[in-house]
Amino acid sequence: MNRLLNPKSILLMCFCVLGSRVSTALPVLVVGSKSFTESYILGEIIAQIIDESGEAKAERKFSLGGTGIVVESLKARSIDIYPEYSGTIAEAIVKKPNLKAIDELNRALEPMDLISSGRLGFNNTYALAVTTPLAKTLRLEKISDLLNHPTLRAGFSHEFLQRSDGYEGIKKHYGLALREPLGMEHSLTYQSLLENKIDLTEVWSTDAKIAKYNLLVLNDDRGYFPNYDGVLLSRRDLPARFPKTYAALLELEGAISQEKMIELNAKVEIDGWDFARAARFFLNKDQLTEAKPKMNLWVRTKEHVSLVFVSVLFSVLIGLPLGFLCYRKTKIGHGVMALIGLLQTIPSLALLCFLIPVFGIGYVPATVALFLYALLPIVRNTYLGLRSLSPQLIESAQSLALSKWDLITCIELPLAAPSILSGIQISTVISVGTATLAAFIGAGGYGTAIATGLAMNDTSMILQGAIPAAALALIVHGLFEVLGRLLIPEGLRR
Amino acid sequence: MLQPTTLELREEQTHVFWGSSGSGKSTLLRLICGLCDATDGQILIRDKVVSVSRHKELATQIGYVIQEGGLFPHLSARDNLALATRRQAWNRSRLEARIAELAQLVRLELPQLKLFPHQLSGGQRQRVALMRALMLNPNLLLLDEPLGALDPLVRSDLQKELKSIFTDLKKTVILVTHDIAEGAIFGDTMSLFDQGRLVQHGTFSDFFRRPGEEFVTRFVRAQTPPPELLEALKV
Repeated sequence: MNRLLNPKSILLMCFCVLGSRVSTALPVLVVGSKSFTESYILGEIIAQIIDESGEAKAERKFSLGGTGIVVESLKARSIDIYPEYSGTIAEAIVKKPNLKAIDELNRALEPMDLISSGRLGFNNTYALAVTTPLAKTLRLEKISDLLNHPTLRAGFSHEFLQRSDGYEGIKKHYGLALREPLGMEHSLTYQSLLENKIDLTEVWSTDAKIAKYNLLVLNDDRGYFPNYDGVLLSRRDLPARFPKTYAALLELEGAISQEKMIELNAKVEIDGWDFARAARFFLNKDQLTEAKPKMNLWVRTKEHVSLVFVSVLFSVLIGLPLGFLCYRKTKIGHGVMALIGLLQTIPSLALLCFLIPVFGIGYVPATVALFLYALLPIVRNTYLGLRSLSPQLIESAQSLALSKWDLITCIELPLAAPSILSGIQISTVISVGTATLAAFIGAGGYGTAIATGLAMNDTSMILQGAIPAAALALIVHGLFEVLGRLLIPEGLRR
Repeated sequence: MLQPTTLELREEQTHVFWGSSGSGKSTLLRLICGLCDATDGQILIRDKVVSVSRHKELATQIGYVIQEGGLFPHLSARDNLALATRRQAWNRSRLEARIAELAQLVRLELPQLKLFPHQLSGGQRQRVALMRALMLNPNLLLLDEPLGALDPLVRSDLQKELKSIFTDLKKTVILVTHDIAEGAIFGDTMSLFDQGRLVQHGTFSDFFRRPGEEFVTRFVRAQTPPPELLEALKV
């Protein structure tokens, strides 16, 4: 642990992390994925095909947090390709929900310099599902059958209840008159269904749990749910830059059936395979079981500590003088304080999303975001610590006619040290927690395990990230106690 | 807000500024050592006008002990003393010699100076504060309620000691207090202030024998001086 404490070695580590991608002879193609199982598997398949083609080397930037972040990353050239859905392209990317055909989508994508492949073969749309025994008893096959059973109890995820193309839309489209549905966490709906707490829920149609829990997906007989056909979304120049690779990728068109996708999802979520193995299995390469080196705890720790250390370091370098300025120039101070407070209210994923066009994805924007979040406690505690100095002591210092520099370094800062240091401590401990979100823009750290675990609904995987993060927070807390002994003047410690 | 006031104080004497809190005594001290500028009127020390622009220069000629001493809690007593000489290019031996000299004057043991203010008694803190004000050997010493926070016994002992220190030093001292007896003990002259106005200036007995106005009588009678003092003055 001692080596961690050395700032030089940590800085060195940061540069290693930053520098690691430069050292390959082949050009690098960056593959992205969203943070759920299917997206990881497809991302792995893409990456393995790229490596196979020999034109480029794949770099994986998986578990990016949501459509906004992946698309911004693609526009900013931080990634080159990732798996997407036709419905999402229409609704969320080009924002023309009526577009269905791939040609139409590609025309709309052209101004953004993006291009979509043809359909891969599966359709991961919303669907309504009931347990198979219940379906047999009530003779349920299609959504319109629900009209005959208004007493069925529905439980939907909060997102499904809120989306315009979710429950409200289907209720109107089919004229459903069910009892007020329960809103619950998506991961709980399956359990509730099995325990007969609810009769009906929404599922993603390629979800492995449909098979696992023996659910029956009701046929969308009046065609309400839009198609979410799997496609590959890439930068428009990709086919020209890597023709052989792109041709190999296009062989995926029509190659992944609904059943295949469900099977692959099940291999990961139920059989506990890793994504790379599921991808190899699909590409018929599973016999070559050279396991990808698992990202170990040490690597994650280095990434995490480096994120926290570098961002807090910059927060101190900027925040301390800023807090001092606020103390000296009260008018500026109020403005600065309000501005920094405002930064704090931006949700972290949104802030990360804003930073992508400027900094791309990965280590740099994550550090910038953490830096911005760490500012407030440091600036505020510096300002308040200085402001609460007793006027008598300031007068006493003036009567000694100290130089301005001596006044700051011998009197004001040491007297405010306990408050300033506690500000830095708060910032650091919070950063240890916030840095787990860095995984959503591919910056690594303990968040990688948490994001993967969330996607796979794998509690032990989540804990592999959450426990070290909590331990690190405790260690940081302890370090600051020691630091307090070193930095806070003896006369102020009582 | 200080009212127009003309007051002349002689060197090498101890002058007491009297008055209840808020009477403007402390403000006058701040004006004298150039910590703030007067909006009107002026202060002259040896015929030179005092102003904030001269503060740094004046600081070497004036020792100022603020209320409750103003020792910095994060510095040891010794470091508090050293701070006063920070702008002077003193070498270590000169600093140590001066500290030893002053410690003897105020009767502190050198090891005690290694302690932090909160580890010293109230009386010891005041002695250190006095030492700090004397470090640069100023001509003029300003003391704002130097004994205000002490309990009566310590206070009485320290009064006697301070009195003899002032007599030995032959410095001009201005001492602010609201305590009648304390003023009587220290002051060669007294100046009584009320709400920013100089009410009367003179010797202690003048205040009893020739009170300038009703307020003076009320002020001096409000606190009964010790019997031996009254005896000595034969009021």
